[in-house]
Amino acid sequence: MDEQVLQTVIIGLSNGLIYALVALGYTLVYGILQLINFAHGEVFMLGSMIALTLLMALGVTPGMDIVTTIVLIVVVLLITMTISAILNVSIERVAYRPLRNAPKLAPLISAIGMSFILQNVGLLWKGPTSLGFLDIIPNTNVLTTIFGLDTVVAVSYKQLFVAAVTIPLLIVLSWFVSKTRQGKAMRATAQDPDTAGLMGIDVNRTIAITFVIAGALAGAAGLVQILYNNTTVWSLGFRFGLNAFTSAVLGGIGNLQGAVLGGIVLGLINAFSDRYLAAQWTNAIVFGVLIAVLVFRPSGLLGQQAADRA
Amino acid sequence: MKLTKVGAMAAAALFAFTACSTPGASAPPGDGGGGTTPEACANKKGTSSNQINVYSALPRQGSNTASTDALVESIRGLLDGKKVGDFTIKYTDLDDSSAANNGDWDGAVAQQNATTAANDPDAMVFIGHFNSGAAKLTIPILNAACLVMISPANTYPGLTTSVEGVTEPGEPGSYYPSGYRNYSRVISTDDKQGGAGAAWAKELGATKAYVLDDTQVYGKGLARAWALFATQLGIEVVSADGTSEGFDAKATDYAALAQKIKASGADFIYIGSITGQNTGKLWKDIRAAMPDIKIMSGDGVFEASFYEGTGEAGNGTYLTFGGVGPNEQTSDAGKQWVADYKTAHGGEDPPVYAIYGAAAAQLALDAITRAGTNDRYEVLKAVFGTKDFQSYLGTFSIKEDGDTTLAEATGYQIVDSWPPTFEKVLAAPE
Amino acid sequence: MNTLTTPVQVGHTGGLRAWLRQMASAARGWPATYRMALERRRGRTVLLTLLIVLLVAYPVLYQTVLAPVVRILPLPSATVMVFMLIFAIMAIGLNIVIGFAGLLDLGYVAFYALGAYTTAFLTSPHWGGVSVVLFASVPEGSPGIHLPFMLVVILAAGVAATFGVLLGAPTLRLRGDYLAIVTLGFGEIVPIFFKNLVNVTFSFGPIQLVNANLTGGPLGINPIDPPSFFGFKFGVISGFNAVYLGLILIIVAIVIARNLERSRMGRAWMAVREDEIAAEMMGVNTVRTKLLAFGLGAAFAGIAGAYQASYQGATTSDFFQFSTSILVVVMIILGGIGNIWGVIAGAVVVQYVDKTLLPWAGQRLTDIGNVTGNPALGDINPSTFSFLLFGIALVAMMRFRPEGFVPSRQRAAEMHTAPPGQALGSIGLIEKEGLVPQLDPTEPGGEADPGSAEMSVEGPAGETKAEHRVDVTDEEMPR
Repeated sequence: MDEQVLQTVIIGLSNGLIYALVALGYTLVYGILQLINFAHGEVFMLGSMIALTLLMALGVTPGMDIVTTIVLIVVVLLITMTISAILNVSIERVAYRPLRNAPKLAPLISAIGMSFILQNVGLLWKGPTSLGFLDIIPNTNVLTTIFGLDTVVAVSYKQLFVAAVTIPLLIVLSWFVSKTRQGKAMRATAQDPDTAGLMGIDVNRTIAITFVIAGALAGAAGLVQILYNNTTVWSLGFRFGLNAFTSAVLGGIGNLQGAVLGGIVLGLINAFSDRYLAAQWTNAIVFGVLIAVLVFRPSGLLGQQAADRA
Repeated sequence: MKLTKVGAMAAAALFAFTACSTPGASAPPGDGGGGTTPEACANKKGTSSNQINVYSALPRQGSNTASTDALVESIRGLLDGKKVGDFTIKYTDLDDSSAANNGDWDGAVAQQNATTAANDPDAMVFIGHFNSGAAKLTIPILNAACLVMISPANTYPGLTTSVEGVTEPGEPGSYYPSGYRNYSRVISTDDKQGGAGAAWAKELGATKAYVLDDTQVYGKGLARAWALFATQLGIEVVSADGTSEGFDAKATDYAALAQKIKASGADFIYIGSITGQNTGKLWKDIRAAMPDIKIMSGDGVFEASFYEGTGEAGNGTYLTFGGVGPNEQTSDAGKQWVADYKTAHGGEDPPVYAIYGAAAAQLALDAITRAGTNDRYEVLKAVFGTKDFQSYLGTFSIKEDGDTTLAEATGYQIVDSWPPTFEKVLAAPE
Repeated sequence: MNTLTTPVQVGHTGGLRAWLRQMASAARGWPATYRMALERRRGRTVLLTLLIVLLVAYPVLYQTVLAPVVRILPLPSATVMVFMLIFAIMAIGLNIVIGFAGLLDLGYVAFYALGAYTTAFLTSPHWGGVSVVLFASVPEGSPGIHLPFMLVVILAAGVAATFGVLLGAPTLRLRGDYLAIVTLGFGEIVPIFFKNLVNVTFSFGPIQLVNANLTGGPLGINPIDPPSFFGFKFGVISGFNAVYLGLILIIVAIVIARNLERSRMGRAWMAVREDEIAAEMMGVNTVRTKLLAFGLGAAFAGIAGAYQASYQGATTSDFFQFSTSILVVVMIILGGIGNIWGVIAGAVVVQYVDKTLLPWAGQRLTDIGNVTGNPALGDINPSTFSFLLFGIALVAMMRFRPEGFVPSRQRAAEMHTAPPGQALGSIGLIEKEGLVPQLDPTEPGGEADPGSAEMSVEGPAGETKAEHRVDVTDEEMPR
């Protein structure tokens, strides 16, 4: 494959995996509640801010030795995931559970309201401008330094890091949903909440656990965002959230594998559009893809949900 | 049926009101100048007998405070509470920025600020804006209200003159619908800064350049000017058909863009942008892909918050300033001002624009004094009639089109910390 | 004769002349209508009258009596009032799409932008190569196209309506959430197009464009001619004159929206909103209904955009962000979905809080801080809390009063009784719960008198579950 194309693919994959993590959150919640959790992008944004604060508080700097750095990053990852999970489940409790029996418009509007609130929290907490963070993980090209390959293509430690965090999480999630009892409960509730309730599944608890998982994934994505893209800002959640939601829809909303596939495809679309077209049109292309998928193939690439959802 | 109703109402309204739109007796567009008082300037005397208001409109949030805090401080020190004859000057500091725009200037807010000043009958001078894009939107508003604007920092040429290949057709006349000039500035324009930068780049050995801009008025104008002069000097510009290419300030990642630049074979990158347009991330991603390439940018990022955003990635960046930095000021008054600032701020250098804000305030005070009365048109004429005015920047006059006669540009380089080190005074090519 | 057993014919028959006669008689009979309204619905009529008097007098008061306290009390300035009116017009339009027809449109800002840019194209020196000056206030021979404001408003509405239909077409098969997302997508794409069409090279037959700057991009198009009639300009400098122009526009908007609500199309929208399949079965052309909802709703945004662009004298793609779409949705939700007066109230309140109340609070804080020797207070900027406030308001409203503050009674009933999993309507409710609709004419009136009827839906125990009131006014009387 042409080296330039390969390089673009690598860039697209890295960002795509981050989209996938966030997209999973959207798809999990939609599968179980038929609700687009507008606030999910903001959970991701707050997760990145929490990760940033923790990293700075623990004094993680580029010069530290590898073992300490890895240990600290893992610690921050776990804490961020926990806090984001708690945040997400609280949102469900406050904004969505009371509206379980209301017409569909109500929880959607509530989600939008929640998104506003969280954006403002981010704004008040960290100010209006974007924050940068140092390169903890070196940006050096693994291919040339370790493998001694003579190539234009660059795979940096950063990109390996992204894969190192996201892929295990995806595997764990996949195992959880398909092999454990709780996962089965989630799938059952997604299919038919009333019957699941009749079968003895605690629907409220299952929904809460879904939100916990979605929140944890968003928190992990937030940490990856800080360490890979080195930047966060209060308005990050909207742009990113829309991209992530498009990924979920693209892959088939409600379908976990679809969310991952959608994320990767969207990352690739973004990278190729930036590289070969012009960055100013990328957003329009992403939305164009979203519209095209919803209109012509609403079930997405892998999904089976019908378009005709009331 | 209801459509017929709508249609009938619409037709009735149309007939009634089109017939009533009579052409007003407005002066032809273009340079007004001396002679009769423009219609917009008749009866512009203030209502107060002892107060004159001066407004400033600058972005006061986020990364901009690095520059604008000092600007406001100097303006306030020179104007607020000062007495001119029977009048006391009251200074109000308006904020051009909004949180919705990540703390950067917001066109709607800027227009609102201009409207506030324009509708205050005692407002005599408007010091602003910091961003050329904001001035583009507000000059016509102030033009209709005969309020003079003095800018300490706008460098986009199209606001006062037209430069082939840099400004849009119709500029600058389109900004002065009432037919006379009301906008002036104390800093030179980007055709000179861009040209000087291109000449410097040629000296630094640039052969193939990639030019980026933040798609705003200032950044685009500067980048286009640079690209234009670079091409004339023999540097091959490989971005977007030989001119500047816009980058998306809201993107989270520029790796693909950096890859594109690398693949083009460029050995020099020029970026026209202000700090707040995600410059930190942009610089980082470019440096990650091309650690040794030369990068040059303009005064839009000439502030501490820029270096805070880029960190190490900013090292080595060449910066041009469309004026003279604080430690390179040549006039005695200027040197004294800088020394006073350092004393008051624990030895810290003032941001590059601070002294220009002081000069703008000086000019405002002088014009109000010369006008002798609280009539907007008199103050405006006084500003435009400025000849050999001695200020912190040295001696300058205001030309007929509102530009200053000062025309130096200076070049700096960020070595490994802020502030950057002074390299040389630049000369614009003819 | 019970006037309600005969089918009520809403609207008129008989063409233009009959309609003009109707208008004339309505105009002549206005004192009688007013008196009747006072009797019928005293509270509301008095309120409305007071409001109109206040609105007309406010500018005068603001500049004279209230002048000294303007800084101390949070009184809205002319610009704020203009923006209240702009957003009120948009709210009325979006109310047609979301409130009447039940189509969740999250991309409304696209039509706002289209209206503004149409105005920019037709009343500015942007098209420098030509010079078309028609009844406009610039001198002959000025570069660019300059048309009179009223014509431009109509054209802007038309362009927006056309795009409303075009962008609505792909969404016909979609429901609920998916519809929302697609409209959101369009709402983002249109401003991106406006931002990027600055370097267009295109040739198709006789049309040749080389590096044409079509839309001005983020730099925008300015100056735009202010609206001008009788030699007076109604732009940003004119202060309160622009408010009067806005009042005229909004009255037109309210009249049109009211007529639409009570027309056959209005009822078709209601039917489609409540149960599309049933409506289709009843012979309602759902395609036409939905497209007209999008188109007409968009037209209002076009009008608002035209007014805004002319008032400000400039437009750039930065003015049109997703947050504006959501802001209008917030106004509708808070104000009262489905109710024209409710959404106007919502628009006014939201704009007031955002543009007047919060900045005023910030200035008071600074003052208090300076007085009490605590200058840090001045650093708190309440305007940065606006998202928080609106967000909390939305969440709380959905929890406790989803129909909004000034609800339409029908929607209030729907919101509180919809069974789980249902869409925005609840006609199925009646069949499901075995409820019995009762027709209850409250004012029998005489043979040819206008009257009103209340339809209430009672539960098994006789409690009232839902109410709907129909007022048959003079115009709607069958003849």
